[in-house]
Amino acid sequence: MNTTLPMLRDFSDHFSPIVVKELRQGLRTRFFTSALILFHTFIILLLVSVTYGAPLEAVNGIFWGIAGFMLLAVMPLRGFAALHTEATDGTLDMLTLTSIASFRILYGKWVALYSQALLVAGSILPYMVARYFFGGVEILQEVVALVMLALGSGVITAALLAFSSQGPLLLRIFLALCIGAGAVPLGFFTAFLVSASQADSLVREFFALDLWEQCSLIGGILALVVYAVYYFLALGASRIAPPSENHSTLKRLIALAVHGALMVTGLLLCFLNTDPRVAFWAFIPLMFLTLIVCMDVLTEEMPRYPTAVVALARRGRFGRLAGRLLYPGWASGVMFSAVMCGMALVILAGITWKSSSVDWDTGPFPHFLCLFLAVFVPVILCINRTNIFANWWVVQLCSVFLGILLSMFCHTMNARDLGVLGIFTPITSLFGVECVNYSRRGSVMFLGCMFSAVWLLVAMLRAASNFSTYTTLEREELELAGQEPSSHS
Amino acid sequence: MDRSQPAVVVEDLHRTFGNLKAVNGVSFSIDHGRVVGFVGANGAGKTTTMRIMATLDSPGSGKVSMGGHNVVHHPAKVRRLLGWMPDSFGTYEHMTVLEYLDFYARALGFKGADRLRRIQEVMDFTDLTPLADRMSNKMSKGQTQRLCLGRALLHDPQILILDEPAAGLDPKARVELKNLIRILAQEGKTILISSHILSELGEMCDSLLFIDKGRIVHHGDAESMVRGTETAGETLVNVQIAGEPAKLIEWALTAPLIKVEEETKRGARLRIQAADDATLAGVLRRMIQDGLPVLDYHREERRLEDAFIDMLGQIDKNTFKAQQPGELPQKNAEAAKL
Ligand SMILES: Nc1ncnc2c1ncn2[C@@H]1O[C@H](COP(=O)(O)OP(=O)(O)OP(=O)(O)O)[C@@H](O)[C@H]1O
Ligand SMILES: [Mg+2]
Repeated sequence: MNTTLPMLRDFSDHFSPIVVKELRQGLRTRFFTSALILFHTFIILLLVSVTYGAPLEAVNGIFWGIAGFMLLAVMPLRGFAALHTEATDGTLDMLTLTSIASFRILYGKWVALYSQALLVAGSILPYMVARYFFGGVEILQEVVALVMLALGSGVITAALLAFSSQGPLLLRIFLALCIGAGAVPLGFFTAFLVSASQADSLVREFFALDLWEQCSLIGGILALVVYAVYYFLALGASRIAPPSENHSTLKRLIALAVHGALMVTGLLLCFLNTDPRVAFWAFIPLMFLTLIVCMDVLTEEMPRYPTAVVALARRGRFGRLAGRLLYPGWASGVMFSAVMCGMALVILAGITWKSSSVDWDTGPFPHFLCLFLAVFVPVILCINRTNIFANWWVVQLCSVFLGILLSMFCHTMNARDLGVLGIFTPITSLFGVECVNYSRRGSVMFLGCMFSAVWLLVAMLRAASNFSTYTTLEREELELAGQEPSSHS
Repeated sequence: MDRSQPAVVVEDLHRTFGNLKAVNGVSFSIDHGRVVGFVGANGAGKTTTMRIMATLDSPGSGKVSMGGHNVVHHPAKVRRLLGWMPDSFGTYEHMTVLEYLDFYARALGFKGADRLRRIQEVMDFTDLTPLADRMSNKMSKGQTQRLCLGRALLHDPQILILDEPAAGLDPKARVELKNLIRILAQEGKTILISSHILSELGEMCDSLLFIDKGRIVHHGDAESMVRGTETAGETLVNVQIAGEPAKLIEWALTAPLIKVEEETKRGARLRIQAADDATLAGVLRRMIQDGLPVLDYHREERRLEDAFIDMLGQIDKNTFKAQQPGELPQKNAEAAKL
């Protein structure tokens, strides 16, 4: 008997196999140890510099800059190629054959990466205490900032992992940059929190709230973070799963529930407060989530196998009708996205309706309407035929590029009214409206919304004509059910 | 598993990549406990077919069932029956051989002492025990291949699909691999092996499956393949002479009924248009009478490689004929029982 075998009792059977594997590998990589050592050396040097009279303000700034960079960039970036490497090495095939569900693969990888990030976050604590003794530090605000960074790190890791399923390197770099751009507000918020003097009032306001309000605020933020992480992992899972599996219906049901809850929260905030603009706190996260969900469901491949429609096809007429919203594939995705965008816009409509200072024609409503309608454009425009996911991003990028060209043209030619040329696509109308004179904005915005709605209409028609795919699969599935009544029940 | 039905059934399988028909109407079936070789040129469609059988790719159309389960409808059931060894595979970085097997054993649901016991069995079988602490991505090709086979065997699958397991191995490692496969066959496993090394497959396999341009072009045992492509009334003779082989070639070019098949180092392989002993003896007599210093003169068994190449040549001719106007394309792949 080989004596080395008992050594592998290091991880109990309760851990997911993927977590065990990733931790064994991750803790052995030179990257993790060297990054950790470098990070700590730097911070110790920084603290030593205080005793030599370095200004506290600057030291605080640098301290949080490094901590943020480590948690929001360095640690999550280890997921940048995770799934792509598994796919090209052929190891993903082997994982598939062990019948580990795709979601479990992503979840395991995320747990392993995130637990290492938390290790880093935990190792920051002693320095925070040390700096507290130097003075000039509000420890409570700093702890909140650290928690914010840690939560953000979890979402960013999940997003990078999800997008690592994409093959083209350029696309992955671009997506990573988009995630980076999404993290900028979090960075600002952290900076605001730790620059002790300004955030003071915010903290005091928080403590002035009732206990249940405090709890629901914290609970709400945590729930949103958990959902965002779940959604990204599910997005990645559906991209690596075999095409015969359905990874969409459950994901969409959960999205419906969460977005519905956010919509209700938004409406309550809008109608129960004296200032309806408080509802923006619900709208802004909902907007980001809606854009991500739409991008996901509109870039799903159409299913090819009856197994993908099993869940709903056998639930009678209503099941099949729900399938037009919940089956995998971009066609049902168009309908689902329309519902999602509608739910987000309801909050804005509420705010606009109730607030006297926000108007319908130039306020946020038409702007966000255009933004939401932009998600449907790639359903109709096809630049990259082989990769529907890449196509979505390329089309959006091209629209933004055209919009910028239009703005530059209007400004350099000093022909601001030419901004009206932008009305033909949703994104360019947003750029165009910014160019035209203030007095004309309302009418140009209106035209932009009208044309943008045409894109949605055409996308819906195209989707409806592709519903025949679902009908065929449903028929096959029912035939199959007739043949083998004992299986799936 | 119902052993009265074939272990593997592939019916009219198609798979296209863009405009390329990688698999174009493949049909065959394999009975339980058979070892079948899967042979074809590069790009013939072996890997694509095998990946679909392993539930890793999906058929464009057609039906594949493994152990009675359809690969599309019941992939999880198929995966439990199946051991798969891909043609190219990465091992993980920063992971020892033992950890590698431990990971897959965990993933397959082995727990506690049961897992250790199974890993030990597999390591003993594939002779990996001395390498337990070696980093799995820093091993020789042969060792990696054994590790991959070990991984495929962890859950004791009934059907094994091995995609070019012998590629890149030295002769000793090949013999070892062959022995392992022989033992597995004796245990009653159904095995499909793809390879380019025909002579070896001929020894190992009960039957061979030849694929070309996405179609099955022959199925049956190695002998029937060799015989099937033999042209009646012809014999291949290997002749060696003392001195320059050019003399022999010159002689053969002028002699009736004789064609030069291939020049060799010390003579040539000649194709003689006769099969009876008297004529063959007559040819040898004429050689000696004409002053050729013959050292060796023997009838040659046809090699599997020659048979295969001849067959591909015949198929090309057939498809060419089939493309003549007014004729329908010839269907050369039919379901076969192996
Ligand atoms: N994922 C893919 N995308 C596009 N084409 C592919 C893909 N996989 C295989 N092909 C093409 O399908 C054809 C059959 O490939 P396959 O790998 O099945 O051949 P093979 O018989 O295994 O060849 P080899 O002996 O070289 O391994 C090839 O022309 C190959 O280029
Ligand atoms: Mg191959």
